[in-house]
Amino acid sequence: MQLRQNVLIDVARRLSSTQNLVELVDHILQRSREVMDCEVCSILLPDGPEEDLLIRSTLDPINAMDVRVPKGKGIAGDVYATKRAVNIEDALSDPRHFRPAADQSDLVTRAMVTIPLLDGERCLGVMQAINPNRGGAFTAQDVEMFESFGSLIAVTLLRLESQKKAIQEAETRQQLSSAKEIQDSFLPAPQVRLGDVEVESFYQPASEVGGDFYFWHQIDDGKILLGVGDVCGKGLPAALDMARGTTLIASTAHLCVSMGLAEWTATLNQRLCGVMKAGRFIAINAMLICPKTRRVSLCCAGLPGAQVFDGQKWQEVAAPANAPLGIARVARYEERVLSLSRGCQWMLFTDGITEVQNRAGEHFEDRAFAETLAQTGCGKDSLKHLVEKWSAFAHGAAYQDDATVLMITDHATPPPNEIALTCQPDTLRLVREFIDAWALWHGIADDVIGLIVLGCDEVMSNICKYAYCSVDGGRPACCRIESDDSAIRIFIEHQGEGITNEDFARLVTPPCEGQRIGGLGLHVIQEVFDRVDFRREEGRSVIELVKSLSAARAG
Amino acid sequence: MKPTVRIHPNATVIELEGEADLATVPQFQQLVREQMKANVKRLIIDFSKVTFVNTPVWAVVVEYYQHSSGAGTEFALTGIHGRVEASFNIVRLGAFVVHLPTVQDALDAATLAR
Repeated sequence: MQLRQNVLIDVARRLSSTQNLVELVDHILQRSREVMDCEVCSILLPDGPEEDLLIRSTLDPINAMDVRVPKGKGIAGDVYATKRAVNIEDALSDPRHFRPAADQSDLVTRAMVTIPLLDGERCLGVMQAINPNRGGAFTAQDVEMFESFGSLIAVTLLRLESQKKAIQEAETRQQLSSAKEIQDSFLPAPQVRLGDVEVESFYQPASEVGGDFYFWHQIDDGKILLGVGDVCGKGLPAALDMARGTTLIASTAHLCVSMGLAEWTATLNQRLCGVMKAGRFIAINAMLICPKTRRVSLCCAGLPGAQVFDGQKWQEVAAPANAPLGIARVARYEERVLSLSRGCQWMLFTDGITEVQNRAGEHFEDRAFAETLAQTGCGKDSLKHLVEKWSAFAHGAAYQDDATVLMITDHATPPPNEIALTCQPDTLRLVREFIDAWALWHGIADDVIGLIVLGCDEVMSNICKYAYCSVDGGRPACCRIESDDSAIRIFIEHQGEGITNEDFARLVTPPCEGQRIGGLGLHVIQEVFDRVDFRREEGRSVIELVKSLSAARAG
Repeated sequence: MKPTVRIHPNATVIELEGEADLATVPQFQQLVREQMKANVKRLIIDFSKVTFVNTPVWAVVVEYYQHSSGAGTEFALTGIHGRVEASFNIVRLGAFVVHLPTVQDALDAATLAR
């Protein structure tokens, strides 16, 4: 008994000091064989997805044979399942007896004690003592001593399992941290000012690494290519595709100098089809801003449409729906071109924003997204406000996708929409410059701007030549521009004697070879504008010129 | 608008530059009328450096065209492009006034008849 207690204390000391499971198990088995005074001691621990019991034994040949007991088989499997110790005098005659085919040892099992290694209700494995050297069966005292060993071992196994898990988690964290660092290197700065355009981002991967991304590139000719993307899938495979996508975007961005956004997207798609594995794809919402022409192109492929704040409210920009990238080389892409002045702020985002669910199971897009946008307005805090509302909504959500927002703010100062002048030949260029600046800022196509400038100059020239022909001083005139989604309206007012609509209809004639010199101006006015109205208002002559926007600017 | 007159062996060329509008048309008209008086055999008005033209300027062109048609002299416009071309197309002068891409084209042409 004293020997058994000494061995138990020695084993307990060893258990708390070793970190090596195999070394520890071998030591336990050797010492327990001494204590149990038996031929063989074994420990069987679950291994692999099937939870086979892998045998480690004091019998070296068995260790070399990689002997496994299938789950539920044999006396060991029964004890592992029932979690109750079994003391058998003649194992060979026990109906549960099972000898694995891999066990080619000479061992003949007679008496056997099998005990579970328990952590509360959880069974960590089993231990067996086989064939007492004194012959016969193991006693109840043997079983009790063996169970004391077992409880010590169970605690140690737990400690080692916990340490192993902690090491694995630390390694995984380290790997993910490195992966995140690498992934972050593929993302541009979260905030940037490119001339009058400010870009801010919100980027939140669902785990350390994500499949979402955003990008912005300023191209040589001043254009800005930017957007958000979402790679299908999660984790490292998605992160690798994200790296692939952002690299290809960076290497092809310069093509936007000479090609439209839809053509660039098609080119990107073809290149991605060449490098992405089957079944994988990337959804993007891309935007190409040309600050010089004040045009913005949108090409959305598999993501929610862009939102724009038009001065009153946020609204979705209707744009053609395109297929995500990387699926089919032959996919065609369409873009929508608008005036950058359509809004002061634009927002691109991935579906992780709209599809997140709160604890009640509601999606953000069901109601909360619209409510948030209604409260958000336009300004420097709009992204912050959106993110706060979204985060509060998503707090405690069981599942969250990667989420990305790109907020684009146009800080350009709009030109005046009205000019007052003294109407003289050498001041008419002021009206031309005024209209030029206004129309350019509003993204009107250059050829159309040229026509509008010409048409207004003809009106102003006629006012100079005819309405104010006999006036030496004064000669005030005013030009004001309004626009909505359908048309541009230009109001030119003067205090001279104007013509009527009837005069206009009578005087305007198409030019021909034999025509008298003069009269071309009214023809130009009629050709340029879709509607012309000459009227008197409160003692002033007003000429209203209307140009349909369907012809004046795409989108 | 800045006009420059260049005399070539077989033509006189008026090169215009900048914006041709109501403020500058008197100067242009005077220059053109001088060519009428001089009864030049071939007049070329070059618009390649012009960024804007309105109808008072085209009226001067029409005036010279009518003069040259009656006088049997040759007349051509050159370098019409961009916004000037849009203006030129609206007033439909291209239907009867000879217009060529460059001054050299007009100088090299055997005749300037349509």
